Formats: sequence, C-alpha cells, structure tokens
Amino acid sequence: MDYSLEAERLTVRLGEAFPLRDVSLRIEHPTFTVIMGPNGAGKSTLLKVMAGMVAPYSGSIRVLGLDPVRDKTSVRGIIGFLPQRDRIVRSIPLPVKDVVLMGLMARRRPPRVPSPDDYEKAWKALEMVGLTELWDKRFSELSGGQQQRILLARCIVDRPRMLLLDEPFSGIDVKTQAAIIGFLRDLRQRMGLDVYLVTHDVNPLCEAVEKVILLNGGVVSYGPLREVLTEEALNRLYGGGVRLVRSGEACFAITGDVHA
Amino acid sequence: MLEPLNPFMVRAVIAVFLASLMSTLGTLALLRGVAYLPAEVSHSALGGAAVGVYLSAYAASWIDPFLVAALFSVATALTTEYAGRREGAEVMGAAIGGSLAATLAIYAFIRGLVPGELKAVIDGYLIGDILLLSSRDIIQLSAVSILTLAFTLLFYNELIYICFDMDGAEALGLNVKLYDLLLFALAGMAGVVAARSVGALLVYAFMIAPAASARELTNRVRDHLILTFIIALSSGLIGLAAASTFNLPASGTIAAIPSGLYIILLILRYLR
Repeated sequence: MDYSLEAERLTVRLGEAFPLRDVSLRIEHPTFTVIMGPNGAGKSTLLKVMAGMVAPYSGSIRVLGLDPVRDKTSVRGIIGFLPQRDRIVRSIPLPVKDVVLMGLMARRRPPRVPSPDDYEKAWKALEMVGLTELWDKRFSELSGGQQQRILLARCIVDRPRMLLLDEPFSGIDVKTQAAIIGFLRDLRQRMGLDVYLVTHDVNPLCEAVEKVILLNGGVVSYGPLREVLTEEALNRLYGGGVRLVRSGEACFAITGDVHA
Repeated sequence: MLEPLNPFMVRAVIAVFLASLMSTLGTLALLRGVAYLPAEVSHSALGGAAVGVYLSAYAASWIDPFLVAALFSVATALTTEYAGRREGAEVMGAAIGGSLAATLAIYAFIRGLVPGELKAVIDGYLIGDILLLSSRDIIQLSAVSILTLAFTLLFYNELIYICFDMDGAEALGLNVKLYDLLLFALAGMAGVVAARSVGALLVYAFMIAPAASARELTNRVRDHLILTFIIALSSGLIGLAAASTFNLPASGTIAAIPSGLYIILLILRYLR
C-alpha cells in the first residue's frame, strides 16, 4: 500500500507554541484531502512540515515515503506549494512568465537562466490554467483569481506529485473557485496527483474532495467527507455556531470563522 | 567654481557614480518591504567610524575607520534580519532602533573623548563632503561597490524571489535564510558607501528617494532598478554642477534633487 502521508505522534514547536501535538495520520495515495480547522489550528503548519519547511519537534512524518527533513531535496522536488495569499507580495510588478518560471528556476543552482525548454514548460503550465494570454502581463496588475491560477501554474510547472495549497480560495470569486476546483480534480484524476488543501469553506469542494482532516492542534476527526463533516464534529471544532445543510452530494457548512 | 577636471571634482563624480550604483539596493530594500534599511544602517556606520577613528589614532594605526564603519553597518543589517525572521517583521523596527541607539551612543561617547581634529573626521561620516574625498576613499568605495554590485547581479533572481514570495521560494528549495541575510548585508554595504559619499544624514535622499521616484515612473522590476540608478546619477551630477557653479554645499544640493523630484511626482499623482 502506498501512503501519501504517514504521521506518527507528530508534534511541532514554533517558539513557545505547539501548533501541532501528537498528530497521527495515515492517508492513502492518491488523495484529495481538505484540511479544516479554526485559526491557529495548525493547518498551515502541517503543510509546512510536509514541505520540509518546518521540522517536527518530536514524532515522525513521511510524505510519499520520504522524510521531509532527511530527504528535504527529494521532497521539495515532488511538491508544489501554494502559500497563503497574504504571504505573497503581490504588488511587485513581475511578469507572469517570470512567476511561473520561478517554479523551475528556484529549484536550480545559480545562475538561474531559463532555457527555451523552460519557457516551453512555463507556457504549457499557463496553458493548463487557461491563461496564456497573460504571459507578458504584470502579475501585480491582475485580479486575485488570475493571480491564484498563475501561482497554481507555478506549482505544477515542474510536474510535482503532490500539491499543498494553503487557502487557495481566499478572496476569490465563486466562478474562479469552481474553475480551480475543476482544474484540481482533473489533475488528481489524470496525473494521479495528491492534493492537500487548507480551507475554511468546504462548500464548493464537496463533490471533489475525498477525505477531510478536522484539525485543532491535534486531529479532531479524519475520514471520508460524509462521515467526518457532521454538525456535531464541526461544532466541536469551531466551538459552536455551525449549521450543516445537505442536499444530495452537496453540503453547506455555515461557520462564523473566516479569514479577513 | 571648481573646474570639471579638478581632482576633487573627478573624485566627487566617481563617488556619485558609485553611490548611484548602490542606490539600486534601495530598490531591492523597497521590494523587500524595508525601504528604510540602507539609510538606517548607514547611521550605525557612525558608531563604527567613531570606533575606527579612535582605534587608528590611539591603538593600531593600520585600522581603517571606513572598514569598521562598514562592519557596524552590515552587523546592524544582519541583526535586523535575524530579529525579523525570529520574531516577525514588526520586530525589525525595534531591532534596528536598538542597534541605532547603541551605535549612536558609541558615536557620541567617543566623539566626546577625542580632540577637535578627530571630531571632524568622525563628523565627516555624518554630514559628509563629497568634494573632500581622497583617492584612498575612492579606492575603498569602488572596491565595496563592485563587490556589492557583483553579488547583487549574481543573485538577482534569488533576491527577487525572496522579496516576492518567501514561503514559496523556500518550498521550492531556495535557501531563503541565506539569501535574505545576503540582501540585508548588501543593503548595509550600500548604506555605508552612500554615507561615505554624501554623509549619513543625506543617505535617505540618495537611497530612498530615487527608488521611490522610479516606482512612480515604471511598473517593471528591471526598469525600476535602472531608473533608480539613472535618477540617482543625474541628481548627483546635476547637484555637483549646481553646487560648483553657485558655490553651494555639494552634499545638500545633491540630496535636494531626488527628494524634490519625488515630491513633484507625488503631487502629480494626486493631481491626476
């Protein structure tokens, strides 16, 4: 059995805080998993540990069979990471092509000069997100949805095996959300990519997502969406005030905890 | 009026050229969100200059005050980066404030101890007089500037990547701590070159105003760097010519031009 993620009593310390404590999980490959939880629940930290950006304090973690600390280079070679929107300085007027090329160039040794083959890969990645007409445009001049899709192109340009997406729908309109979800589902099905997605709003993802992790420092609940996403579990997670409405495959969780 | 080929004027033109090259680091600092850094760290160079002048006068004559000033400047920049990385960007201001307070205290303390002629040497770093630079000063400034520029060009992509998306760059495998330290160190070096050329008080005008003005005129990163250099250089040359023609203080005249240009551009933007 291939596992996408194996965590055993994983604890993470950042300064004096412990954003993750005793997290044990085993998720089969391939997967489309959503990570939910209130602010400060350790969702972004879990993604960063998986990407080898934060080392565990204790316990162990393996990503597609690799240790993100010991096999850092290998893990970073197979992961496409989308940071939270507010972590990116979107006002810097980089050309779109340079943003996508960053996904290739940042993995190389200096001097990082792109070859014609690199430009072709960047063009194809942009083609996959349907935005080749923005190739020469300034990233800073685009809408939030276009920027997010371009950052997704950066994630996939080097053909990763796993995507780690930290709140990709923050500040994005419903139509673009649907386009991104369709794109991710397509990637998952055609390329067998593992997708881990942090979100506060699972509603638009109900049909695409396979597993849900409810996180609040530790794992509150993990499993298939219909089993995990209960009104009781969500109220336990968010401390009350959540209503869940189901209609066929669709579900609507109404929570009060969203990022500004 | 000084003749254009007067050695003092030639050295001043070279210093303007070097300081203009360094002003491009002001652009990178602006993109990194620490526009104030080169100017602020140049003030900590004052403490280093005071220590260097004192040691070369009373302890070891081989000690060069400029190099000690550069050391203080870079050390302050690196301390700021470390504090920002460990405690968050909002702590950077406190770190730089603390470093400045310490180095300015050293400056004031040593300045009070030394005789008048050494006070003048130390104060040269505060006020600066571009027309009084020696050939040795120019050689030192050239060496530091070339080194700073070489590192900036060599790691240009990496520096832009960390300015744009630190987390994304780290996830892609870039050693973001190393490159961020490099960026801060380069900004520190740029600050000390500009301080030696136009004086620490006027570094703000030379390191921040051209970068801010250039941002009003272009929306491309590379053009931003080139325009910053052009604005700084033309301001420097026009300022030097005006100071020489009308017998004005050179550093003040040079600094007034980019500051004035920035104010005009801001007014034009609001009027549009």
